[in-house]
Amino acid sequence: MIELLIIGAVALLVIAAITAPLESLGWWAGWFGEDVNDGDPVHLFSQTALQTDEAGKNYIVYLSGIGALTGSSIPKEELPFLDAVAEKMPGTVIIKDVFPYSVTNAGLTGERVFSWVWRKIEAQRVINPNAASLYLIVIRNLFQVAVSADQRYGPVYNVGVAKEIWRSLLRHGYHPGSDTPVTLMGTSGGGQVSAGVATYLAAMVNAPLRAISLGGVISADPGLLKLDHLYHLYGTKDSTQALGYKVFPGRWNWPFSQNSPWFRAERAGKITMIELGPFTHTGADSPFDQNSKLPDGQRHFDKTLEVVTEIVGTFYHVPPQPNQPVNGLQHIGQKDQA
Amino acid sequence: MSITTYFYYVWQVITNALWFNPKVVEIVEAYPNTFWITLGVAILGGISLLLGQSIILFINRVRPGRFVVSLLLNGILYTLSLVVWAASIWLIGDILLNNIDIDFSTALRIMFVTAAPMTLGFLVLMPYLGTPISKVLHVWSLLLTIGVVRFQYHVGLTTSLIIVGLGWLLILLMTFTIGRPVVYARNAVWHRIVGSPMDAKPEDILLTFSDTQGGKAVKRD
Repeated sequence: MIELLIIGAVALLVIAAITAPLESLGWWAGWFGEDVNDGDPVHLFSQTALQTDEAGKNYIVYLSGIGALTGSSIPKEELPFLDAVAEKMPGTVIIKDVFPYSVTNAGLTGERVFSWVWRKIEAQRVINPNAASLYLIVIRNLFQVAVSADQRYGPVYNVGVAKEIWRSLLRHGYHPGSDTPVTLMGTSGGGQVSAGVATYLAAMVNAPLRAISLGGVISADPGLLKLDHLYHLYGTKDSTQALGYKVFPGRWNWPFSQNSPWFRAERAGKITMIELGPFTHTGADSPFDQNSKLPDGQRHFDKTLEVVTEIVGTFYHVPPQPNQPVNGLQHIGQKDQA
Repeated sequence: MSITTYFYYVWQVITNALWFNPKVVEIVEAYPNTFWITLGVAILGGISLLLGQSIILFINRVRPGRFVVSLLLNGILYTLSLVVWAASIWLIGDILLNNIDIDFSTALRIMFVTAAPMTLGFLVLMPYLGTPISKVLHVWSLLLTIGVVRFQYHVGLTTSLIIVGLGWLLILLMTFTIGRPVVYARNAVWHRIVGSPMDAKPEDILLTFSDTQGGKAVKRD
């Protein structure tokens, strides 16, 4: 019986992995979804219905972790954090309606064949945030992160998500050509998507573009070279973010990978690693946890908020240099590469 | 033979060949009526191989109907490539070991068996793991080829390696000489049936949608 269960689980994983790229590939081939327009994406500006007439001073696009079901249906611990950032940074528009694990921004509970399954899981999450069924969301989205990081599929996937981010920016009053800075804030798998979309988004926004990774799992993606800067915030007890430099050969500190986009971006001073403290990836002790405290009494939540707002509030004026502190924050540099 | 029985035998050949079970080659060699079963293995290998590499079809925006036809076409083309491969090794084997009397149809059936690892080609679709899986499958198929040549000619590993290596060189030589019209015809058939020149690559998306100058410089007030 146990053998059957194991075989069934492995078969399910293999099927999930094999079918993972099909959504983005089918979209690109025009099998479903709207047409892919090869032309200048700025034309989308005239097609997009604005939700507001008021343009922000800067924009943060939040790309949730692999626990997200839609752009807005994200793990509940993340929402208070985004509200707190908005409160501390008046004039900043925080975009929360991009689902980073779909090329068409179609949430799992939307118009999909298995949307009824995802809706049931979503209902369960409200009752029990640790339900085993939530791992199905994690597995599904994890494979999309792998699609984004894959050199074969990445271009298709990342251009799709970049176009959805661009659309959302326009919906939220972003003016093309205004030079208004954009920050991609990615958690977990959202970190990889931030790097992946940068290749295309940089050309669309044509303004300062940076990324903040909150425990992001990031490959040596060519998009890193298109970002003005990547700030990687991590906890010392977060083994998930550490997967980034373990599973992606382009991040291995070996002679053959020194020319990978990751190391080239690092040499160009585009990457800053910031250690938050003894933080885990999710749940208790995570960067969003409002109960756990650091030895000095500061809550994890407040520490993360302090670092993120300092970065967003300052880096468009005085970009930190490599190997120098970020406004008093400890700069860790290569520590996690060791 | 019912269709179920047929696919049961195809399955048996694939699973036994994957584990290098010599009995499968013994049976294929002894029974000429196994031709259709081994042909099924070869065609399935070709279909699965293209399924795993189907990004090339998606990138070139091949329609669903033509997508299915492309898979079948690749099954046939892959089988034809195995026929050429078998002929090359059979010729080299005949020249090097002139006392061995093996008819071509037997050599062909045995060569079709080496397509067994390629039936797992659909696994190449997997993101990130697909590329290393592809390499493993090709090495697996090569090892199987060396193994069946050893069995076919009752020779040692070194001789088997020499026969396979020379066979490969012969194909290379033919491809760049008398094989050119054949390659041209194959590409023409492919273009006509698939309906796309198949010249788009994932990298083209980079060129279409991204700039080439890097991120815009940081704004300094």
